[in-house]
Amino acid sequence: MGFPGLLLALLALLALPGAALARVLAEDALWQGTVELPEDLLVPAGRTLTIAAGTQVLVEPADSTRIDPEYLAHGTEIAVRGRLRILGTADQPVRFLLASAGDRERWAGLVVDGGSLEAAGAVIRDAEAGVQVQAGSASLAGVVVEACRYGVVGLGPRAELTLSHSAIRDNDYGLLLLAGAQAREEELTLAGNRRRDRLFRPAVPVPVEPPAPQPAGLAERPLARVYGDEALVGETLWQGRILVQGTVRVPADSRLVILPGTLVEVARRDTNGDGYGENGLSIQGLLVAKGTPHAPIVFRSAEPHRQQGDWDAINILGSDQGDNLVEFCRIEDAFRGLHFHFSTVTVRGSRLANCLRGMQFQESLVTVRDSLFLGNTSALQARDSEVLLAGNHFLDNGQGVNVFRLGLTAAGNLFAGNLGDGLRIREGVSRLFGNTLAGNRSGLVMADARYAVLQGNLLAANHEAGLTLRSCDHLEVSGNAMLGNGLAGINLADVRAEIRGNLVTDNGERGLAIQSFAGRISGNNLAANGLYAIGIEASSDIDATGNWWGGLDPATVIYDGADEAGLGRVLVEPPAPAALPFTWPVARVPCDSTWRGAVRLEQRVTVPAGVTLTLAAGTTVTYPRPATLAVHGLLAARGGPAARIRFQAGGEAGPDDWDMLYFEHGNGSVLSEVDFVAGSWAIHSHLTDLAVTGCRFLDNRGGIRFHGGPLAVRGSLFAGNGIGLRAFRGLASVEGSAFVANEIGVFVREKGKRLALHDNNFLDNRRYAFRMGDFAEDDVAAGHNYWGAAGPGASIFDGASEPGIGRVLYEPVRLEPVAMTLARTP
Amino acid sequence: MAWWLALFILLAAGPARAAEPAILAGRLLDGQGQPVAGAEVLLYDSAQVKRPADFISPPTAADGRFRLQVPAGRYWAVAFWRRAGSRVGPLAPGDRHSGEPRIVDLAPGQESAIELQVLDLQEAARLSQKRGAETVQVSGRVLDAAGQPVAMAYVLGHRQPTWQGLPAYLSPWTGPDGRFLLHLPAGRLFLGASRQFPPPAMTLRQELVLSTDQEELELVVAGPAPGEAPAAGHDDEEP
Repeated sequence: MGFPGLLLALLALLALPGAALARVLAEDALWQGTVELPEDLLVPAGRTLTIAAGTQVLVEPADSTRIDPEYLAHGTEIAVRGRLRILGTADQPVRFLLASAGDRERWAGLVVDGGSLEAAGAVIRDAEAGVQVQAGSASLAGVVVEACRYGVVGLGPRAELTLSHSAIRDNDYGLLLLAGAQAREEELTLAGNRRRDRLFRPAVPVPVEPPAPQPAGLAERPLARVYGDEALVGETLWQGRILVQGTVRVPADSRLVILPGTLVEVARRDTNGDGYGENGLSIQGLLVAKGTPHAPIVFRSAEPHRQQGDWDAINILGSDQGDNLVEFCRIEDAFRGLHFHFSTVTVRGSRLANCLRGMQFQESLVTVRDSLFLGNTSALQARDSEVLLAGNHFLDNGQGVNVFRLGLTAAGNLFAGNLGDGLRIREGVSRLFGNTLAGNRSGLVMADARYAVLQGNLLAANHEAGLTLRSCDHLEVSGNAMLGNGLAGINLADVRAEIRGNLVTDNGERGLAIQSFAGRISGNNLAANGLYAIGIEASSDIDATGNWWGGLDPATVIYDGADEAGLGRVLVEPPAPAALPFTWPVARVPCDSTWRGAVRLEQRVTVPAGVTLTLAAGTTVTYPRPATLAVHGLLAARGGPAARIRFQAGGEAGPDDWDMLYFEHGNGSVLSEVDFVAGSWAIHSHLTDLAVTGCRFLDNRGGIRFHGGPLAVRGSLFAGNGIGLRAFRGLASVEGSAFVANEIGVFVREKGKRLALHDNNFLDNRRYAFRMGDFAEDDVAAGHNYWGAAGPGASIFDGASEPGIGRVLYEPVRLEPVAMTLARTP
Repeated sequence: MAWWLALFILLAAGPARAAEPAILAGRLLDGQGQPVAGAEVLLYDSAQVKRPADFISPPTAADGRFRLQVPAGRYWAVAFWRRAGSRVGPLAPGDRHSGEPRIVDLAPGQESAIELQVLDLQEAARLSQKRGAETVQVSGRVLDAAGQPVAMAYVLGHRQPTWQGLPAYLSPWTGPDGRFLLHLPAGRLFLGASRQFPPPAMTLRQELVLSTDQEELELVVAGPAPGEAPAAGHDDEEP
């Protein structure tokens, strides 16, 4: 049937006032007149919904709608994977309105996920987001978006927006372009949005180890067996290559065991035309899919061009009398990769990728460890279960993890680059330790929860808030870092909690944004947040004593009743006199970050390649036990004359060869006006272009130990160390520096011909000012240095002392010391 | 003193209500029905109780009783008992809570009675058990002959010491700490550990009669890992 004929045929059904609508648009359709939207609507790929001029769409809002993976929002939405055409005019606009006038709820809005929206002459209001695009295109011409929480939102680099002759006004937020979304704008009015007219945030790189490649030669494996719609009764063993062309059922008291290295391919079969395949596994007995790291089990589409939703799921139902195992498996291209109810399931070392939803379950006992959820429309959704999530990566999904009423323990997980929230928790009892949430739209959102513990988590560079708590009771939020989030570090609305010992710095607007709060905010470092350390909208006072305010007068970084009548006051007295020690909670710095205040390292912390860690002037890094800051990316530590940066050891004694700062290919790193005190090796550098200027190395086992380079040391002081500078096959220039009272000033272990030292002072070093090692055969250029009143003489050990090793070429000798601005003590 | 001042402020800041006050009196009991002293009753003027309370009672007396005068109206009541004596912040383990709020309608000039039970926090918060009712949880470590934890091993269980095909029960692979967790039916079982899957023919030597959960079980796996490479030598300290 052609489009005009189809229009006529559907008109009678769909254009009637008050017509109720199906969930999935089964055919192309035209709306006109008044159309009620009582529930979510999906415009699937290949379908077009056209809305004629003058149409009113009356939406019933809902707090929580479909949980099926094809729907993206929590409220009533029109999800567009096909095409939505809105053909309004200035005189006869299409209006999207709430069905109940005066209703304070919102509907979700128009959500474009892989489709296209062409809207002209429309008014969209009362939505959570009037228009949201996370993949696909939206073209708005002559459209008004108003009275929404968010006007128009673009998420991710696959979102294309064209906004012309339109107005985005009177929303909480106007236009948000996050994670690299782009918009072309022409005659766009962005005004009167209450909190912000515009927010642009580029994508936040969060480097991780690349996932292991697919096992080689999968497609060439001979086919072992083909299954249609059938039941596997008793014990069934799969190995080799399996093709599934129907629904394979494993009845109760039966077991399917899949051996390492097995490839299971599932053919696409879409009988209801919803765009998603229906073949898959249905387990009522037990599933044991026990791959290994070197021989994973692969479940994927059998189609030549594999797509999301080609097959249904591994469904497990009512299997709680033993352990269902999904280990070292790769589950791809499914509607729901793993889907289970009333079951006991362990997932370990597995990868769930390119599914509409990686995993969904309820009423189950679940362990998910060391697994990767990558590039799914939503990673994981669960309810009413007891769950352990440990060591997993949830990366670059549309939505991250969304759970309801769980007994949840989550430890050491990474939630990064998800276009929605990294982790969303509603109700239940949660314990969150050592998780990283970075570069998501929001980091962690928790609502209606009690007794949760959030301890030692990192919430960094999320586009909106790091942590949002709504209507939560009896929470402990301690030892977390909320850094560099786009809007707020912590949002609090109707919350009772203890918030202590957190690092809340460098957030775009507010460190803590408080609508309503009871409890204590104490012992936190609140510094360098864009607008305010704490901004409140509550009428009651807030107890915030004993916090550090970044060295500023708290009154200058607080927005409260002193600024606006009717608001409560933030009670700050007494504030902390100095930065409070904060233990960095995780083993990585996952994205560009700034440390400030007093940071403690109790474990090896890595700055990976592609990440810059900045240390603000005045920062102190302490080592209560031997630990290392390992830089594979870039470290920028620039102190100031009155605010030097300090690395200092103290506390537990440890091995005498640990490194405070370790560089490996940390090219471009800069250290200036930094002190290193009482460590083992202050700096251990490999193959790194490193600049050290105006630094002091005091009383360490060693100052700098390096291999390769280039290393440039200027104007620095090495005093009281075992060895000041140790070179191994190094390229370095050292000038304007002083080596004073070390056991050995400079030690060249091997190959010193690419070293150049000039205009330095060597004074009172106990054994040698300069010592060549037994394998240092090259001469070293060391002219124009000052060696003390007695000259170089016996302070040098080189080829003159032991034949066969290189010489220190100290001529000409400076007769006067180089003027130094640095002293051992300020 | 500060506490009573806070209460006064709370009372003063309460919502507008009928002028004639009402009395709420009652008793707080623990899980065994014994009176709880030092607990507090919190009243809210809406079902939204995750916010500062509108009214808070004085601590209960030794007989668990309290009495509170408030404006008449409908309230949602919860009660807390804190072991450490703190009045804000999250409840700590051992603290008690009365659970979902109880609605009380207080008529002007009249006294209403209420009895609330405050239970241990963990008990009150515990979710329904998701585990199969007839299964027993067995956990512990897989060790090598030297007593070191073994990664990439697993525990297998069967009704008899030997089996044909595959054993009936299989744990997940262990991690670096050698820990395993297995859900098993109650009754007599034999357990063993292996690093190969499918497991080689072997005899399960650890016999258990399971009726309750078992922890810290240690199982020794024999032989080296399949294809295990010889241990790498230590690098020279250079560079």
